[in-house]
Amino acid sequence: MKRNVLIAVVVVVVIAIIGAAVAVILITAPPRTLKIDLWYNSTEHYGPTEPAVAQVLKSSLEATGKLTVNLRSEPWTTYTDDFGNQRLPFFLLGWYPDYFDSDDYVSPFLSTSGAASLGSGYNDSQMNTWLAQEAASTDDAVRAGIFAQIQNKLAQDVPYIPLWQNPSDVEYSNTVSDVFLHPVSFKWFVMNKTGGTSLTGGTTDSITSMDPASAYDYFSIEMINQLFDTLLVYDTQTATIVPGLATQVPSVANGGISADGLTYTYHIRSGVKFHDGTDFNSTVMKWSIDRAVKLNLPGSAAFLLYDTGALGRAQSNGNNTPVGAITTPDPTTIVFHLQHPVGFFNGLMAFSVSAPVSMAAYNNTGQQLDAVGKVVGTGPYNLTQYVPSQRVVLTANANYYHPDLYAAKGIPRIPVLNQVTITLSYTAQTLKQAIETHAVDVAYRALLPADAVDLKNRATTLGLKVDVGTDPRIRYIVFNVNTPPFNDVRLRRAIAYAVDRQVINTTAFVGLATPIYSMVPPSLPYSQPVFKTVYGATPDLAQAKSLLAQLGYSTFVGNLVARDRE
Amino acid sequence: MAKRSSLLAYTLSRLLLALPMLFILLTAVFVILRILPGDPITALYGGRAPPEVVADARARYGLDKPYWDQYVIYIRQVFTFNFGTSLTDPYRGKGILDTIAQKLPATIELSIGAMLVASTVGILAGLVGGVNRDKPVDVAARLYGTVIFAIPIFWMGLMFQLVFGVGLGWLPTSQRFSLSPPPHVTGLLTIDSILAGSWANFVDSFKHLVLPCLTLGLYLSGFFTKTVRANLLLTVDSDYAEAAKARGVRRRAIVYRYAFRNALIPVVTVLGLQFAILFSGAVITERTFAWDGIGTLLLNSINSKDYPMIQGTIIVYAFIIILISMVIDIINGLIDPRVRY
Repeated sequence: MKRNVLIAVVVVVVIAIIGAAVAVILITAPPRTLKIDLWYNSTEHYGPTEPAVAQVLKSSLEATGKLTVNLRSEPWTTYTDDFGNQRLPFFLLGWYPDYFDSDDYVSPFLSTSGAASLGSGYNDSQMNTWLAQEAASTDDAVRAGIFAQIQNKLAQDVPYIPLWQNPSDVEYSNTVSDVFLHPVSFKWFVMNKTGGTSLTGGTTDSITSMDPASAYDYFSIEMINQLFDTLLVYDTQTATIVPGLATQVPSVANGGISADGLTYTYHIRSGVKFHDGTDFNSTVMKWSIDRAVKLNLPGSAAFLLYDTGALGRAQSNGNNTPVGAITTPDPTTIVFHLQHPVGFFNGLMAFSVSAPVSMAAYNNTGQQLDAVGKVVGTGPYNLTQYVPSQRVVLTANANYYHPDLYAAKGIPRIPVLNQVTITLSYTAQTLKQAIETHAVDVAYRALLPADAVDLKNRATTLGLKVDVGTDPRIRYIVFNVNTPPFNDVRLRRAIAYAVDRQVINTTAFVGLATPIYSMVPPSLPYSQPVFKTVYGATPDLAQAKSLLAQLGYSTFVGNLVARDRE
Repeated sequence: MAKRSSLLAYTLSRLLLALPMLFILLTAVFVILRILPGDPITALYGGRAPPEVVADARARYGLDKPYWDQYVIYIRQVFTFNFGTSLTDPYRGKGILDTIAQKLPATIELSIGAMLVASTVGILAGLVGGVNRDKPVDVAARLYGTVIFAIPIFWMGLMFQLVFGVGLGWLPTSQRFSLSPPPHVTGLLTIDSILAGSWANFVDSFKHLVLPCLTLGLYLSGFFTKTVRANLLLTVDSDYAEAAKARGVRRRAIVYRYAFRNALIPVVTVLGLQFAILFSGAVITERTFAWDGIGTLLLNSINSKDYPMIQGTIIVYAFIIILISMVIDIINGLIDPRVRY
């Protein structure tokens, strides 16, 4: 009996000691942090600065003391597959606009379908309603009001955190003038050179296709903009749309857009000829649009016409736009009948996929060859030599229909120079060497930011000019809002408080980037810096910590929760 | 006569053996590309297009078919010399063989130039080292052979660019030409310039060749240096050289007339093996000098997971290497009477 009591006492004491030890360990142990993976692309899809950006983000999030960030990376092909299939919960992404309208900075992200493609899984019916309303409207006041609501909700729900816009830069010889860092279309045909009629350029890009029905990458589109024209074009320096092949920009006021926003009427200039001498008219315009839609080449931008632009694509009509979607009452009038209102339709008519091609030189059964004599547009330049991935030579179109297009902008006659030769496929390193040694007159896309700064610092000695501007591409964080722990808006907000845009700028972009506080960048209409208003321009670690504490990442209980969630 | 027919039999059997080898390679490339995660079409759109547009694009390329069907189509394509078209930018929509044919001459020109540099520098350094065994000049040659092979190609390329291009301004640092290129005949710009009778074009393309060829050639020369030196020492020490020496033949004559020639036989074999290293080195050299060859093509296609282009490029590489190793074997038989087929 006595022995049993002794055993019981010993057991109780041992249990008590173990219990106390466990309690002490749990209470005194440092608060467990939430471990999260931040993904980025490892194959330089966004340039070589990506690892540095990820590292800065890691540091600023870990400064809360409650987050441990594990950096993960994978090649672009795997990355897109993973985020498209909702497998990345927290990652870095970028967006280059298709058309220069604020809509293209919200719809692709916040509409349910767009958010699924971009891996955030955001789904909000109110947001969908607003997006449909702003897309349907051409009324500035109405749109401004809706965009304010959209952006405020974006900052509340935080499916994305807008971070920065990349710098864009162009380096050119002192002898060259009228080089404009255009937000949408870089124009070689307005450049001038003292004492010369020809110009040489260099780029790291190469041409995928000069067929408007196929091209959907930056540089191919840049080339199409020199060789072809669209109904509407951009001003020399700003993203303002001005008439190109059309005589005016349709609006509700001038009767070009119907009151219900479903009909767009363009009056076409007469007497315009293609490089091959054939006439441009409304029939050719309709045929060219139908061609892009019918071909619907994989990797092309045709979907911007039939899907985004609401023209439709009808199997019953040979995969062209449906019967009646495009009508041509006379040779100088073309009317587009949309399936639902698209307020930015004019923007789509300024995009390369809408460029008319010569019916004599093109067919609608396949992609056009990129060869001299085969690339036939109405543009200021004519293609006179093309060695794929190596060089392209553009020569003035003597019969250009509208040489005084930019006369009001101080450029009396386009194209200004008789010939432009562009060397393609440089590496960032060799392009820098080429401009430094004046092997080319103009270097455009894409030097490393540090190299642009280096050249700018030595510009006078080198006889160069260096212009730095802002690229329309925005960079941002994506959360998959359906994946724990990011399905809790408090964690997303905490991260929005903690990110440090200034350090990203100084560390990765030598201070040349532009921090942004909305998905709609400041250069576009209706942009409001909502993230600055709500979360501040600089990191607010106190707020971030307090939100994370609410989530339980600081106390004893929090430890258990944290452990439970890992 | 007997020798010629046995050579023919040998060549034929080598060719037949190459077939299963190619087949295994084709299958391995196909399988590896499909096992690796990621999808070229999704990457092409990068989330920009609606899912039905992406699905439609996949279907048009047959990527929605079961792997087995894709494999059968692929093998059929290879044996009908129709490799299909590229799936992704920057070659999207272009024929695979057309694109390779367009890029191959650049790599061949670079390879020939680099081989010339490598064999000239390597053989000279090896000879000087071997003749002056253990003297300072030999130590220097040996050191050169080791160091040059250890230097990363891109770094050496960059140094050449900075010194001869940016610093001295003597040579262009990238691309294949500055002037308008000569009419396309062989694709080798130096040859085409001569055929076109244009001295200016020849000088232009030659100048562009110098730095890439030096970079790749010097890198490869290290291996040559060591091989030539080792073989030279072996032959100088051999019985027949000893016998010649005993008969009063001068050392110079022994080295240059007997030993050197025999020392070169294994070098020819090594030369064949070097082509594989040459091609891998060419990938980096092309990248460093923005040289638009098949190495750059392969690198771009791997990055974008362009299945048909990767497959096509690797098959062409394999074909060239098999061809070269066969030619080397045959040459070996011709120059070395001991080799029997």
